[in-house]
Amino acid sequence: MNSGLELKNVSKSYGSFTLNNISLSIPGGTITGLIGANGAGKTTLIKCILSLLRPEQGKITFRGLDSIEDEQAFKEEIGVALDECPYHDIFTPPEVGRVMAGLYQAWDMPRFEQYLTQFGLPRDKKIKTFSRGMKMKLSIAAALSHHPRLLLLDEATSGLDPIVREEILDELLAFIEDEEHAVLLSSHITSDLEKVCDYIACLHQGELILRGEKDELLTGYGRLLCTRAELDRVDKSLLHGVRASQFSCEALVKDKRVFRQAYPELTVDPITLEELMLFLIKGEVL
Amino acid sequence: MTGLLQKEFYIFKSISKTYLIIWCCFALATVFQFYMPSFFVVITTFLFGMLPITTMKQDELSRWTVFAAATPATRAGIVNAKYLFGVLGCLLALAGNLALVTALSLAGRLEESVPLGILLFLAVIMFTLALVFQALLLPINFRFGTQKGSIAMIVIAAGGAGAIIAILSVAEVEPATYSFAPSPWLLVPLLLIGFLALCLSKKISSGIMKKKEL
Amino acid sequence: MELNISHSGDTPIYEQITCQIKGHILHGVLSTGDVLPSMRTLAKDLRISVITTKRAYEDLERDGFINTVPGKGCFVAPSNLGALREQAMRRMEKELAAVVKTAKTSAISLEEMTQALNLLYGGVPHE
Repeated sequence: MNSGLELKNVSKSYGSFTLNNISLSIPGGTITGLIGANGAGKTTLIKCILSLLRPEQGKITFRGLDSIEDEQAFKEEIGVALDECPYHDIFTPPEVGRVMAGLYQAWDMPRFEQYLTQFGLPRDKKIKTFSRGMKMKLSIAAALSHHPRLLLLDEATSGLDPIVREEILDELLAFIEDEEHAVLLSSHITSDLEKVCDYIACLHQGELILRGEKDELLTGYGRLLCTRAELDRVDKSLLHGVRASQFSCEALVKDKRVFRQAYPELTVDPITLEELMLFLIKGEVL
Repeated sequence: MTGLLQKEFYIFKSISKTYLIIWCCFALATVFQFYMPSFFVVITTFLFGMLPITTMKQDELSRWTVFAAATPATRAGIVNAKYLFGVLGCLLALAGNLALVTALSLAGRLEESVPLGILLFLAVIMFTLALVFQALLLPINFRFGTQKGSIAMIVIAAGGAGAIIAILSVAEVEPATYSFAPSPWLLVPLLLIGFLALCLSKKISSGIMKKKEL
Repeated sequence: MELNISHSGDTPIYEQITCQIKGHILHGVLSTGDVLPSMRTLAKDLRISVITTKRAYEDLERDGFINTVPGKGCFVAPSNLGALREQAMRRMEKELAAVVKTAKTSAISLEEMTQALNLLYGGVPHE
């Protein structure tokens, strides 16, 4: 499939960390959320896509453009917002616009101005005076203003208040109304990912441990709360992980529907993305 | 890549007031004979020759380079823009030196110290030295960052400037040098060496940046 | 058209959407030719993934409830209503047969059964 971001067998190791043979596809018209603990490899993966780090093996393409062979064309298509605002303190937003105009062929200054107004960013103040939220809004405004087809956001919304985050999420939803557009969003704020993502990918210690449709994952998986005695008599193949505390046990149920039919007397609750991630990462595998 | 040059200019614009003030102080001091014109020429050259490294320091503070490498400018563009800006900085130094020297000669101050011919010659040599200075320091800064690069810079700059000033002071005092009339044609090979050094340096920097993990 | 999506049940969300829209069509809340919200609008409104709404619409189209006109949107399909109602009727009769069997074997009278039916039906929205 030519549309969308395709990662095939991407591996990168440095120091003691290895990103191991990651294959992932981000289809056009969708938003993929990338989750995982700090150090799991999310930023490493994003940096590999942007050729900031050189993977030892693997192929990364977007709409047929290779990230290394067609580096310039590839990067023209990508709007990047990293976790820190990269613009110098001494710039004002219009100056940022002029610099970006000289970096991207498709830079759209009127659109950038529109975003500045929409996000409430002052034209004549230096970035030095901006709050973190304003700096990130500026980064995202710039990322959106050169008609990119792919948006890569690496923790770009962390530290922002819920109102600003909602504005940005709405922009992302508007962005993917075009089927040729795609978004890869890495974030710790799993509630945001629950709101907008179509797919979720979870990295843990450099491995892709989960990749699926968000709605399916959240309706399929469930959380079982029970006593140790009850846990012992449950068919373990229906569970994925267990977290036992002193007085009770929690387990990750793979398919709520099947489990409830098998054990109607046991309580299976719906699960949040955060709980799912914690189970997958910290739960004891059965 | 033009965006990167634009960025360099914006940074320069923000520090230009400071630079102008410093430069004017030195200029005035020279005009009023607190400093020898030769000393002034050397200072001007280093002040402006250092520009690409000053902007690199700013880039590091904002983590700009990582972002720039993610844009279509790519790492090659980053290197090209930096070297181009460096040359422009050296040309600015040259213009500043020529301006002051002309002013001094018009004000009739020169006969007392050093002949105009020698000063003009000196300005061009300093231009070449600035190119060499950048050729040496830019790869070091690209490879090790500006913090470690500063150490190298201080060593090279202090050593170089010190040596030059020492030679010049001796030359100025020594009457024999007044009869030394260098042929302008000597400048051509010197400039060529300067530019060649810079080209070689750019190749090295490109290689460094290509491999660097950001 | 209102949809009530529950994330805590067993039923996959796309199934809930499909059932509720079918219900609206069969009850006449949605008439032939009515335009449905686009997959993306619906997804955004319900705060779910577009993949889910797409799947729901695909199922509805497969079952003949809606038609997709490229470039224009999704519309409630005409005339199938009669056939669909018949299908639903047959399904209901089959399920009722099982209910009647249960009642008869436990000596529950038709009146008691009708009472129970009234109570249960009272909780379902209808015009």
